[in-house]
Amino acid sequence: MEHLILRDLDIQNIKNIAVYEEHGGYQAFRKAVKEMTPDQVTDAVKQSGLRGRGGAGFPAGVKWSFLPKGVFPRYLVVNADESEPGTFKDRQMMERNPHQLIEGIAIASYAIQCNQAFIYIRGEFPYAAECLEQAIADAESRGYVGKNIFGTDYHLQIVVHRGAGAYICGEETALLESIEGKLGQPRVKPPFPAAVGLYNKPTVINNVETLINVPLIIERGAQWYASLGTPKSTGPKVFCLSGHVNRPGNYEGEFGKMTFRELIYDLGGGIRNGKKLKGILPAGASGPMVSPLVNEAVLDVKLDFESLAPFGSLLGSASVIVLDEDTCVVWAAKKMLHFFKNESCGKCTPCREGTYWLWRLLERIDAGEGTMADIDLLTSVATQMQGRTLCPLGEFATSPVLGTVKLFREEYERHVKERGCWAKK
Amino acid sequence: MLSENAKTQIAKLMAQYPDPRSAVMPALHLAQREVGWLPDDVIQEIADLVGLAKTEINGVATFYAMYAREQPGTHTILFCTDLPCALRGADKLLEQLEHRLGCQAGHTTADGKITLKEAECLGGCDHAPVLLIDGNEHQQDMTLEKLDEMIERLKNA
Ligand SMILES: Cc1cc2nc3c(=O)[nH]c(=O)nc-3n(C[C@H](O)[C@H](O)[C@H](O)COP(=O)(O)O)c2cc1C
Ligand code: SF4
Repeated sequence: MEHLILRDLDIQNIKNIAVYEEHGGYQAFRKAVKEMTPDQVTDAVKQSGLRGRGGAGFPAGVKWSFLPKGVFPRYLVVNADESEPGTFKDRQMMERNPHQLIEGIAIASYAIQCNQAFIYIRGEFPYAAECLEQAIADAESRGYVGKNIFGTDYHLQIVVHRGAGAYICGEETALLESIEGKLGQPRVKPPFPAAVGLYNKPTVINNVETLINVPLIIERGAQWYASLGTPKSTGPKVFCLSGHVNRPGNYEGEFGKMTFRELIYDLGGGIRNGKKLKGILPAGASGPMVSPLVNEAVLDVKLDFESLAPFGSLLGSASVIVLDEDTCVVWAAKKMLHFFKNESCGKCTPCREGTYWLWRLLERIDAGEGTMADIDLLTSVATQMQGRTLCPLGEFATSPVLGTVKLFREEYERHVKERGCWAKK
Repeated sequence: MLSENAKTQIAKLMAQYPDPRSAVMPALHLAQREVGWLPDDVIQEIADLVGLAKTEINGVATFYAMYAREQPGTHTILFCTDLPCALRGADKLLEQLEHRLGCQAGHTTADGKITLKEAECLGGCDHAPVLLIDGNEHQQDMTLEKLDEMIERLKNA
């Protein structure tokens, strides 16, 4: 199959601008600027059905059309914070196919009529940041970025802004605060960034993978794009596969075509050391676990934004972490809560205190010092956090607990009864 | 103290953004690269350059994990212990690294050469376990042998 996103797997050196151009690079941007009005570009993206790849799946074209008319300047912010445990797709795109992203940013900027775009990249990706800066410089030398693009009066500057180690800055309003030179803490919504965003100006925030799809839509047409995937989740999708598989990595498929069975067993080469599969975290630490041991049908679900709902989970950014039969779910939940406890920004009490207490309880149970009442306390603390936090992080943090207790309650009870963990870690 | 060159670069950064305050994070990165960490006087210098109170700059420098407000060793190792790395043996490997270095995560070796810190997911889970050296060099698919080579190299660098 031809890759549409991970084109570095088909075309050697596509990160080189000359090679990218040989393969049609920047022609979509040329077409947009020379032959289309900004609104026509936005309409094409709407018709393509492109949905945000940062986790929530909001339709990109619809988001672009929310900007209030006649208010300038406005900004495009690219979310390259990629810090969800198990996610490493944007990194591959930025390091190995950066021009397709830059072209997507340029087209989106033209569509929303912004002249300055910011890429917020996590500080732990220094090489990817350099790749982007190089790609921007090369694009500028060819006249795709800068002043009077394609001889028109359209200008565009793209700035790479490095984060410094804070998962919460992936949340879009915390990210805006961070670009503004402040603590990365989420803002109260409304107002939404479309109206009051970066420097209080209208702002669109999109994920890297969302924008890298845009040149395809302009080049090959919205109809062609909408024919990929399912009617509700269109286009290609990159799945990150990690954990106990033989061949971890990024795998590109189409929405609604890929199943866990195909991803884990065919592409990923199956479970390491011939073990059985116990649990799958479809959305990294931020979505509930599913288990073929509990319901084997989950292996054959055709993956899109909605299809995991009957199994009590969601696809999120498709950071699929695989756990084998020897893995203790209490220990795994404890690991994830350790992450959330450290990454809670501390702005609201239910999240700051709740993540701490969930982690402490899990530590206690894992160490064999827990009681049966602790298991109920776990679910009660998690349930009380839901709906009471300012941003979704506090909500995400409850899913490792609620997901594993629901699937494997007897394993929690066994830790209490046997005073510790039977599994070898 | 920051070099003249660093100050010029910070001025350029301030001009790059619609609001000069946005230069705070890049300025802290730049200063840390030059000085090795962010002592009080450097925080003050950045505050003066950007035109903000020292407490504000300090707040930012303390909030983000990659900024060092305490003097680290010559080299800093960030070692990922999140789930994807842990599933591939990171915890045991970290113990071995602590043993080899003779210091616990969160501390610096007695000779002042290496600071070891636990980190959250470093975005390299397809090559777990992973670590990051001095904020710019990813090491992946870590094994005990690779750790030994790395320690040897850093101790002599
Ligand atoms: C705690 C938290 C972390 C997030 N991390 C990321 C991230 O690393 N990358 C990302 O694109 N979106 C992340 N998001 C989602 C963003 O807030 C936002 O919805 C997204 O960038 C919008 O882009 P999209 O519509 O193109 O998906 C995160 C959200 C939350 C609440
Ligand atoms: S939910 Fe957590 S991360 Fe989000 S604002 Fe509240 S404290 Fe911060």
